[in-house]
Amino acid sequence: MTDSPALVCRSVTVDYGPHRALDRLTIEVAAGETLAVLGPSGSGKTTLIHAIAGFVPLSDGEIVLNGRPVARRGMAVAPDLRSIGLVFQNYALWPHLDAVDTVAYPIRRRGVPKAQARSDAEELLRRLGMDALVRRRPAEMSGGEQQRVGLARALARQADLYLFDEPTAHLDAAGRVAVQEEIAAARLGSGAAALYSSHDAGEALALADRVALLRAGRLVQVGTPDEVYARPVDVWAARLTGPASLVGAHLEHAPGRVVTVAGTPIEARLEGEHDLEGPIQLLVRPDWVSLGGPLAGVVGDVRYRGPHTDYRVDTAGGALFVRAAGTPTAAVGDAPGVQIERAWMLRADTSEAPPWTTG
Amino acid sequence: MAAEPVASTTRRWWWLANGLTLAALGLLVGRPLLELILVGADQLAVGRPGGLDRATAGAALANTIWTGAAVAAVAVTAGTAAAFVTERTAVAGRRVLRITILLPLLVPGFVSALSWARAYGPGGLLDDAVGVSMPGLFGAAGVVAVLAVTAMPVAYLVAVAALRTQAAPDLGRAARVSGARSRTAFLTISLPLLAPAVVGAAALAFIAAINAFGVPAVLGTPAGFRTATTRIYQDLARSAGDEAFSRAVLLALALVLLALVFVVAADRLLSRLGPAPSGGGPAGPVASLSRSGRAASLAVWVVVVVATVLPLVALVLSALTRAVGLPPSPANWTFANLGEALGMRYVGALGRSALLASVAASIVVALGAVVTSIRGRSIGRFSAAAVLLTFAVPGSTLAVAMILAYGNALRDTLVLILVAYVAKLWGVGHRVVAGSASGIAVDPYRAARVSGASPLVAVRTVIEPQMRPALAGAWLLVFVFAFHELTMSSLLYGPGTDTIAVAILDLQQIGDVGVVSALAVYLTLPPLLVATALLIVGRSSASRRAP
Amino acid sequence: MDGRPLDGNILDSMGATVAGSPRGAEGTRAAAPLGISLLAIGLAACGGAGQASGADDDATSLLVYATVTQDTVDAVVTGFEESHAGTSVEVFRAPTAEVAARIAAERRHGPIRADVLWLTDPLSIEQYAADGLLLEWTPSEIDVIPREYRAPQFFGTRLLSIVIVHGAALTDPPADWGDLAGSVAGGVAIPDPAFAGSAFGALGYFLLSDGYGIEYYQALHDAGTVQVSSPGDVVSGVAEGQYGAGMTLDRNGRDAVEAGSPITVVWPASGAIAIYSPIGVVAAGATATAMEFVDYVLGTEAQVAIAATGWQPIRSDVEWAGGGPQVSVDWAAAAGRQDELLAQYQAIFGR
Repeated sequence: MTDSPALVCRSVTVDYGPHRALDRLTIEVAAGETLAVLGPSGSGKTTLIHAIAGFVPLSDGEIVLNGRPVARRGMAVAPDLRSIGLVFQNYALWPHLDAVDTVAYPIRRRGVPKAQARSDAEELLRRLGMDALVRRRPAEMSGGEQQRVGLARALARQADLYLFDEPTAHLDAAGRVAVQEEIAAARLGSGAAALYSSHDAGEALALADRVALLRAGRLVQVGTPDEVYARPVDVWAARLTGPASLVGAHLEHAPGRVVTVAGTPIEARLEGEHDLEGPIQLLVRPDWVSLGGPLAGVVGDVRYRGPHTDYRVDTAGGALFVRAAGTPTAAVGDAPGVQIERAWMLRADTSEAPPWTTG
Repeated sequence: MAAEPVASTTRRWWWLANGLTLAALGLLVGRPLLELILVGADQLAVGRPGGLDRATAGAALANTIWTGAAVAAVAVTAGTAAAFVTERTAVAGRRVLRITILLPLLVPGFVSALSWARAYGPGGLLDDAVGVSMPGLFGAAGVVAVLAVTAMPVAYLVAVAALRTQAAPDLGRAARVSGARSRTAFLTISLPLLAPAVVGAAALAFIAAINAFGVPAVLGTPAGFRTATTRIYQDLARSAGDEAFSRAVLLALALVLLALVFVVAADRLLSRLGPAPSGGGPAGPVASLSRSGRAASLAVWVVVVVATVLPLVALVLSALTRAVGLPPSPANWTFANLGEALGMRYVGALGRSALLASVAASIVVALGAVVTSIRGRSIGRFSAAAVLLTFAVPGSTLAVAMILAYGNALRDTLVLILVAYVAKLWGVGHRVVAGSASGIAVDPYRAARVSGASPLVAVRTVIEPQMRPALAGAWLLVFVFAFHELTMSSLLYGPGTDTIAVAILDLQQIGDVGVVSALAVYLTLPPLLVATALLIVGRSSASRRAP
Repeated sequence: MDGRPLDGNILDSMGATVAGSPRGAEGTRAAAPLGISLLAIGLAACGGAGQASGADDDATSLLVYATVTQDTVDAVVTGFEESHAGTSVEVFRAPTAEVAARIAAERRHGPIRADVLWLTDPLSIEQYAADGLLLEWTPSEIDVIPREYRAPQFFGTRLLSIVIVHGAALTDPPADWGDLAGSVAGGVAIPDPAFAGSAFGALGYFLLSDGYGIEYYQALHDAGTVQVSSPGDVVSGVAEGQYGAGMTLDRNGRDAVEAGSPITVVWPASGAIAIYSPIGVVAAGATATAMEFVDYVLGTEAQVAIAATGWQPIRSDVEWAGGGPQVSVDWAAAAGRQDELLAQYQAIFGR
């Protein structure tokens, strides 16, 4: 109704004693937007969510929910008085309540009488396709089912902002798919804003309108999924947001811009920061390079994945991971060379060889 | 975890172990209890004890029951509150508080009673300082208070475990974030989830209280307040009459019936409350203290200091004071009491206690391992359950039964006391060992077998190292229990076989305050200091791990 | 359906807590105690059994049941063992009630195990003599014992005086027994005759003497007198200000005053009650060593040792400072009425 952002974090800082878990974090989530917070374990994702929810006091900074300040140093609005819903990593279902009572719990807290709340909860569960779970207790449900009930519980809150704390971290493949679908559908339905934390780049890119990269409590980059995937701000961000190959190259500005890898000129769509010169690194995503081309390289490894095949090609500039649709067209030991079609230019960095990352 | 008992590979071992368990059960518990029932029936048939004596027995039993209930209520309330304070609030000095809450585990009950008498009794520390002493300390109120102090650590441990698993932090957070106020979340989520643990802790506290002898002996008897255990002691060890003997037998039977009925009922109730869920979520930083939170944590600190620390201080001061009635100021200090407490008689008793406790602990751990190895199959399950029930049999009853069954052959020997210790503490050791064994994965054992090791070698090289901490822990636990044991020792000892606890009790009844305090200090402080040091070192190294 | 046994979680967590803390070094401790204790089981069995049966097997070893104070009996036993090479004396020392219970328990199954009984008051031992448990004989030193302090089966070894103690600051302190039944600031404490032999002796005196009788105890009770277990408890209670005054033994009072306790010992005007501490030999299986022990206790060396530990020796030719006018109990009249006397008392003060 208003267009004030659903969430504003201004210079949010959280200290646990000497350890700084969040460092002057400033970010916004617009109304109706889904922001993914992507970062490795220990980067502060859970702390951020706990701070927004009100479980953790701020050491500095400010949190504003829907135009209303809810947390500052020395002041905090109680969690139950913030218009938020939270889906936990460990589901956090109550062992003594069945699915209906669990989903009815937030409804009852709004003052709705018990019987009405239970029927509303049943209705919600039915709408989400969870009829079968209605009378079941957590001990009788699989991980995926529990998390879906957890999601229903959060939705029953009818909040302005939903927080997802790595909701699929402990689920198996099937459960993960089910929950992700559920969340996507719910997003479309309610139009509320969401903050979704994850350590899985694929998940984050799929669900988000924007992605924030978090490292040791600090924001490294915020942008659309395409921005953080194709134009990461440094090597660390590059590795975080998807499978990455880094190739040493050389950039010369005179007479025209020429990029060479071990002497071989690269004819490709090249983007990067403006003030680069001399030795640089090229970020090449597996789908930006194809087998067969001027850059000499020997196939070191071939992995057939079904829909596509991943190759590792060792060139003079470094190892390149190539993804091509279909069955293998080269074998280990072949020297087809590669054609880099697109790359993102980064500063030269002292980095070790990237691990064999696959999706 | 392992559904299959790990060492059940050979049928021969299984039969052997089962036979050993059943034989031990029969010898240690079955035969004595049977003898007790027969003699009791015999006495009742002859009309003994008479009406008046039956009335006093009934009064003692009634006292036992209601003090047990009171102790359970107080201990569980205090223990749960303390658990909330240490687990869920940012209380000052949390690590020290945790250790202090657990201190009474290492202090024998009768020493706690003695220390309270020296702190809050007439002529005690409080009396010397401000001229006030606790009314009713000698009597029902004092008995309940001190028994609650000794029972609180167990209730606290249960509540802590429950707060970490059943009532994990995330569950409370989920309630808050679903719109529940702090109090509502506590009432609708935390409390119901804690219920099974609370019931379990209350049951344990009740059983411990009805078993207790040392505390009612020191605080109840001087005021004429008798429980079943002190009544039995009075009748067997302080009365020459036959009527007294009959009454002791009858009370012993009544006591064990009470304990067993209660254990079975509580167990039924607990199994109906459902299993424990898994996964707790990060403990994370705790909520900063609200006003009520601050009041609660201060209250816990005060209670712990008043209940445990001050009395121990008073005890040490008593040991140092020259003569009864003088204030414990440094001018009146002397080392004479501490010196006298090192006299030959006491050193001998100390040595005997240490010997008995070591042997008992070793036997119990070995037996526990044997029983654990067979518990997969049905008969094994029965044996395991029976072993557990032995823990519920009150010490007084067991002692009386032992006298009846083995008194002729083993009267006045250390072996009789040893047998009683093993019978009583088997359940304790077994529980710890079995608990550890259930967490051991089977696959490493199978890997050893598949690498060519025989069952025995595989157990020795793969299973035993994993279980060593639990075995050592069980050994220590049983050792401490046996070392401090008073109830059975006081009824079973004879010339030259008194244990240190018995020596202290005897001395206390003769009334030599200074030497009694000195002995109690020797008994209690060294293991206490060692354990505290170990705890501090252990925790500080553990907490260096990243959050 | 395998319902978890009640103590599972709790004991596990307790054990885990205990096991969790002493890590590392404790792990290897499991082996050592196991070995030691297997060795020790054998020792314990032998030692324990030996102690009890030693008295029967070996003619030069002795088992004494004593209610005499520990230091006194230790001094006498040490002296006996030194002067009688090759003998060993095992002593079971406990309060009167406990020794009585032990003897009764043994009698239920067969003979008494003790060879010698050395008790605090004559009333207790009188019962055993009447039951024929004690040997009737004449020790060599019989003549040093005044006639009123001996019987054919048991012989006085020392004299105990029951006196009055009161808090040092007490105004209007009691001077005689009758004053205790009057109003004493702070109340009065008396020891339990069912527990302490000396109190039993006092009971015998009061109940059988003119001017006191059972009414004396009734008056005490009505004035709010409290019963405590032992004479030592009376002294402690008075010293700590719990009671104003009480009845106790001369030695207890004297020792406390010397140590500095704020109490005063009063020798009652009409005389302290004299109790004599008898010793007797158990008739069944009586050995020469037992009789030698009794002879020794009545001899000068032991009597000097008894005096050194603070009790008045029975021998008048052994030096003893202290004491005062005493009244004695008509033990003959009390004989055979022990149960009745105790019942009268317990009707007032309870059990």
